[in-house]
Amino acid sequence: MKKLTLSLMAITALSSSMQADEMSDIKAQLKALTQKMNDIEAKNEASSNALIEEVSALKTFNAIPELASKSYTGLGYAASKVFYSKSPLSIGGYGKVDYIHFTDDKSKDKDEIDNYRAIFYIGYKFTDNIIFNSEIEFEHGGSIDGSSGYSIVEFAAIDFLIKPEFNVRLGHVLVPVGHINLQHEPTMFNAVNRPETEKYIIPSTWHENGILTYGTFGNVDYTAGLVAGLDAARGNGKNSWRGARQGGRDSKAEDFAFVGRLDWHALESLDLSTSFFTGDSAQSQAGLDGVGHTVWELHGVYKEGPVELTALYANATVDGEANFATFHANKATSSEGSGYYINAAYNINEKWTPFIRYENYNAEEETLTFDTATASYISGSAKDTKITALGLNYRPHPNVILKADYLFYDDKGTDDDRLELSMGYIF
Amino acid sequence: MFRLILLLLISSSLLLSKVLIRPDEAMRAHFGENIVVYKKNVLLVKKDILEAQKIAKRKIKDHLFRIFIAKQNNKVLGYGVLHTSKVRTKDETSIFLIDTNVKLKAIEVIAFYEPPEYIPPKRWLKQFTGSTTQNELKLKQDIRSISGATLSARAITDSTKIALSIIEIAIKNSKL
Repeated sequence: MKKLTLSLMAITALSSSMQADEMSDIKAQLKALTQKMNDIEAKNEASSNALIEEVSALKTFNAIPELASKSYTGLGYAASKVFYSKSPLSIGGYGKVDYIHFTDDKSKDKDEIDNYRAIFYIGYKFTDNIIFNSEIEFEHGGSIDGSSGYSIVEFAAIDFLIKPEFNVRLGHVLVPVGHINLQHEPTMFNAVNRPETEKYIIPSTWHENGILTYGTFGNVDYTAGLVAGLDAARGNGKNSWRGARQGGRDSKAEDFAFVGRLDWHALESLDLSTSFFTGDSAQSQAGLDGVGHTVWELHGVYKEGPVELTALYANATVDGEANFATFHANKATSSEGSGYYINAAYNINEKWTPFIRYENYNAEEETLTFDTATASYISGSAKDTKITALGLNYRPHPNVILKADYLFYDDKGTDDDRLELSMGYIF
Repeated sequence: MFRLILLLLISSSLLLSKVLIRPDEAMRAHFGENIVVYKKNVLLVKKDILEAQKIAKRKIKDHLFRIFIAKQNNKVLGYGVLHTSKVRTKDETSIFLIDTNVKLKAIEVIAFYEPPEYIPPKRWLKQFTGSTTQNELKLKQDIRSISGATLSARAITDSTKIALSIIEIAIKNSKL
């Protein structure tokens, strides 16, 4: 454009010495030239706009294929949608490696460093409303003869999404009881290990075969369903609930149990939940008539700014304790257990979080032992276990966590303090 | 029981779109039913991106943004920025609805390809309302994390910062 102006000035300067017809000829040529340049500019802008639009449309189509209505590759829309649709396979995982140094009772416990969990999620979307999700676990380094490690399927279920108020989950499911059982990734809790209340009173990680329905009504989410019951023949003592889990491996299905859960989003910063599990656990085995297990809990999670508070109370009972004790003759069986914990964490920034957790639980508040020698029942109770965890989390990345804590561990009256370190991740 | 489930499955629409809400519907829901929605492709050059990155304090990989403009009586009421980010291994795309003062009005998740239980709930998305480029939006401090959907929380929080800074730069550099 600048050049054009200069030429115009030159032409104007020359014009005085030119013939009038020469002048008009040059003017006409100049006009034609300007027109041509404008045409080229418009054409360039149009093609660059078209190119931008095409790239933008392609980007949108790539991100959300369903929004595009054009046919690609000459196929019909439906066919090209399948052709270009996102892969229905989804993979994720989490895990942790823990180091535990026992500071008191070295005679009983030895220090260990454990590849505690290496877990992989695999999900597959058959349709938008039929979705498979699974979790496959390798615990304590996986399984080899003579090791304590194992590999199990923690859940493998298909969700049928019907409407927000009513959906169905079918297959091998996480039992929706407690706080940790549904949110057990290491980045979800502060201490190296999960609270023991959610290990012995609520037997996390708790998974079983069955059917759940779930949905949302306003600020309340619900879950209700049926799963294979516990197996009273398996658990006793402190493990009267934990030991009775079947884990979906050839689960006996003579008795089913009811499970229910409500999550109330009371405030922006406060969630309150309650859940229960109840059902017979005889599984038609001789001598266990009338034995049934029940677990219920209440918990709340408060998050405001950098403060995070979690509190939970859980209670577990066994009905038909005489038959339960007789079946496990000469071993203590528990018919009552309860526990609670409070966890307070403060996020100094996105990386550092100090925390404190106090818990008090007793999985053997009321025990019964059937003594075969005297053919009599002996009742008893154990002392509470009290654990105070003081620790620090460091997140070099939001999905990578390094944890350190010291446990003031009062094991039914005996000091068993420990120092724990852990590396955890989720992806 | 099983017959009931089967009946429910058949009777309900199994062909619902994966799109949770269309961008134009999201614009109308937040800027009013009577608006006209225009679509504009905004191409930011390297200089613009560097400026936006400085504001967002996040890396911006895209140069081209599809921006929806809400107009009423020829007056611009606000913008909608589409932004896609990775959650776990799959993407989510959300639209960030921003007013002419570059203040966030709302976020709507448009498409989500991870299992739906990781979709951030609406009540969680609400805490971003009123955010500007001045807000740090630090997860676990300014923004509560979502129990059970940490990765989604991260993706949306980062996208919010990026969407706000893109609009700020686009307005400042006369690209909108």
